Amino acid sequence: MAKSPLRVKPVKNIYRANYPSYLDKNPIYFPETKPYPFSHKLIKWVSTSGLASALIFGSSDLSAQAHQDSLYNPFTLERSQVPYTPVSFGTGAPTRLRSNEAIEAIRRAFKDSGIELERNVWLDKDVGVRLDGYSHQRNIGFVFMDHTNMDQSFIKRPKQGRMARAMDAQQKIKRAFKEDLRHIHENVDRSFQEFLNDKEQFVEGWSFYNRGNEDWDCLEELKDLKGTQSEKEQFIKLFFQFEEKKRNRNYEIEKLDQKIQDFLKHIDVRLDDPFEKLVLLRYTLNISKGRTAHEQYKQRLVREMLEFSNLKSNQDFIDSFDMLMQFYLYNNGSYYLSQDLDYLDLKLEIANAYPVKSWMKRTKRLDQYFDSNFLSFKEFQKIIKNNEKGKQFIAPISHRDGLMIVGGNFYDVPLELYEKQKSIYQEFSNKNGMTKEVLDKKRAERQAINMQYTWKQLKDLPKLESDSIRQVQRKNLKNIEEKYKAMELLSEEEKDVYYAKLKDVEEEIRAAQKKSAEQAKENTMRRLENEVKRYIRWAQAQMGG
Amino acid sequence: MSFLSATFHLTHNCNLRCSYCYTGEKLPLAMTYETINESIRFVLSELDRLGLHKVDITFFGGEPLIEKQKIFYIISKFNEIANLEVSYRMSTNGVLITNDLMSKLYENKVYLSLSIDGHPDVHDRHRLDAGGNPTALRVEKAAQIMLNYNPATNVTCVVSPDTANQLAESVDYIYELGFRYITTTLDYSAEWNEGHFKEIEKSYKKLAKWYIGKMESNERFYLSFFDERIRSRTLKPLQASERCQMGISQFSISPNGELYPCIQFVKTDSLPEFMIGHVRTGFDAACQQHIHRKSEKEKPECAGCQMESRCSKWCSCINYMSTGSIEKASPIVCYNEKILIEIVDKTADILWKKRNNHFVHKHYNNDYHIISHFEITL
Repeated sequence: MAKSPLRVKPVKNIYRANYPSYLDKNPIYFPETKPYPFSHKLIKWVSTSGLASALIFGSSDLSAQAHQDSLYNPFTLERSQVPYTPVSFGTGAPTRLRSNEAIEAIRRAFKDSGIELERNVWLDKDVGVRLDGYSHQRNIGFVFMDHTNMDQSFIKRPKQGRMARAMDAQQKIKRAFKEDLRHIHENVDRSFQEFLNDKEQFVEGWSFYNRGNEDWDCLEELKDLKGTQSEKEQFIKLFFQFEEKKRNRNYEIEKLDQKIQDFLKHIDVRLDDPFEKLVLLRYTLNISKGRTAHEQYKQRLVREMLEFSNLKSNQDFIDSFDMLMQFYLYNNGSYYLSQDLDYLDLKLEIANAYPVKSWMKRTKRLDQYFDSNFLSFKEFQKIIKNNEKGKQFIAPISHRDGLMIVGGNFYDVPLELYEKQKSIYQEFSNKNGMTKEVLDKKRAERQAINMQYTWKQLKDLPKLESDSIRQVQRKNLKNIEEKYKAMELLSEEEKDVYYAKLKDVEEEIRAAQKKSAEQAKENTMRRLENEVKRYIRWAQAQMGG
Repeated sequence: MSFLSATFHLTHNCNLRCSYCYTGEKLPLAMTYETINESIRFVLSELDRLGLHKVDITFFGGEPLIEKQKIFYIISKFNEIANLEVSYRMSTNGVLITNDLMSKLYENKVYLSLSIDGHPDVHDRHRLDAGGNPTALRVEKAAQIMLNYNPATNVTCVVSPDTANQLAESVDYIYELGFRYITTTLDYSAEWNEGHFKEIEKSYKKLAKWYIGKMESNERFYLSFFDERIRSRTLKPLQASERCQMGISQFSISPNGELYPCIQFVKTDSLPEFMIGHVRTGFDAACQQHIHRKSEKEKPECAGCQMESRCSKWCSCINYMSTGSIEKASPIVCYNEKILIEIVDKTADILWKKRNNHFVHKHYNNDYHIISHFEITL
């Protein structure tokens, strides 16, 4: 028989288990213990095997019972989908609950769980965060994270591209006049290079801006240039003339307040360098015409700006403008703060209390406001960890969580309505003589006219000639329309009857779509509510409740 | 004691040559029909003596299917007895299983336990046939046949020192084959060392994650390593008389009719110090009591151990396999229990903390084993 070289060693310290032993009360008898979690196999068997077994088990109850209902924290880092890569378009993005709808569902969950939440609570335990709801008594709450309170650290910066540049621009607290000046120089150089590469196309690009066919001398002079390197100085002159034309048209300068118009003229007269002029002209229009939620703050900036005309030195003039612009653009990297009334109130206080050159040195209160209203990704991670360790129970619910996606049949319309619409339209078409065959013939005739001269062929022709061809094409198309209209069998009154029927069914479809969208939204809110309740049950279990 | 448990060792012969087999040399020594009849008479007389109407008959070997006709003969004999509830079990290596044979076994309600050590790499390390050929693929085929008839078929998986690091993968393989009742045991006769236990600890931790995953998915299964350790806490500890009735209400009959307290003592060469009688002459009461007392003796090397009430040091067969004596606690058991119980308790705590509903019912609902068995066999 084998002899083991190991020795028996009694163990003095062991891991103390927490799950109930035979000495504790059997948890089967706890009130919160759920019924037996029947397996899907059994449920399927019950639902297909006939009345007797259904009577015994009650299959609909079984499916509810079988739903895995363990306690766990559903609001994890992975679930939050942050940090995220921003997209500059939204057409493919799924529909989500609005923030107010999500918060409504979350509050409902807490209320149903018997927890009264205070609103807008600043909690400074371990991580300073402004919570959308918190109960000091029950030590539980939530913070809803969306674009209005997530700072830049939640965004994954792309390596390059337009988005990367935009993020870098937002990150920069200070926008230097020198940098804007440099951009104008680069822009001019780039434009001149494009002009040299393809003069025709470049001229066409400028012409596009002159949609009203106004008399823009700079355009005609540009056309007269040969397109050589030696013409750079002339080009630059025309460039600034063109900028002025664009500016006047886009900003409707003649409609601006007289003081602003005078100030623009003052800049034009005061400075010699056209590049510096352009930067400051743009600053002026930015400040005076920029949209803001805080009119008083805007007027304060405009007043300050107009005072610059009294400054004797040009350098002083430029430096003061620079400071003003930096202050105007300062928003701690958040677009939402630039429209936040309380934040703008603070800016107004600073503007009223200090000279313009020291405004950018007084941003501490703005930074504090930002800090107390925005969450950083690090703070969010801390909240997650505190939940895991049982130190703090704050549900960090992200707007990017898949829970927020309004799923299901968002525009679920009963098929019968579409069938009805189709049938009315078919009946109308047939009675009107506009059958499928007739309409196909009409379409083919129209196509033939369009294909005679395509856009590609026309664009290379002189304008007069292309315009003339286009006119002929339009006339021919109109003739086709009239020809087929004359073939219609129904009178206008008879057609109106059908149009009314089609309109009615369209209304029904829209109503059904609206109803299903509402239902889908309600289902999503319910789903969110259930997850929040799951979080609450988990947190209470961690707290020993 | 509410029933008798008798094991018929039908033959010493086996078509496999498993490296860890404790039954001795594989000789073609089978139980004769005469010994079978005497054994049946003996079992019935014991039932009468003890006033019992329930008996659990296990077919063992070697490989019992080598003597398959005798299995059905024994069953037919017991079926002739009125007022007797008989359940049949059999442990097999599966290589001789065919569809027809399985059909007949199923018809006669023989509950099977198939020996699979793990995925083919692991299985074929120790379970080769008499010709030295691997058997994993043949056993896999047998597994499918057996599961077709009874999805609740049990698997016995032996873990050796050289396969300890693949225990989790082996269990998962067995589960994926379709088995839901998995009994795992160590090869207690092997030369284990601390390095092997470090490996097995890692395997237990992997297995813990597997266990949690299956529980959270509401899967029905029994894994002895974990479920028995959890029960050692959730159920009242059995008294000595409730635990192993070796030699009293539980005994083995060797091919030549000798009586032994447990299957571990039935070998090709007789072990006179453990023989407690013969089917012809009955139990040797003095010997029976002597062995029983020895097995129940306190183990002084375990004094003061905080795990004593949950450890399986009471199993005399394992102690004998490991130490050569039924009175000495097995160090292999000691090392294993210390590692395993802690990991199992932590696993159970994770599930308890989440109030995993399946966990609560599995370990605290008395009806769980019936309902889950029904669910598995659906």
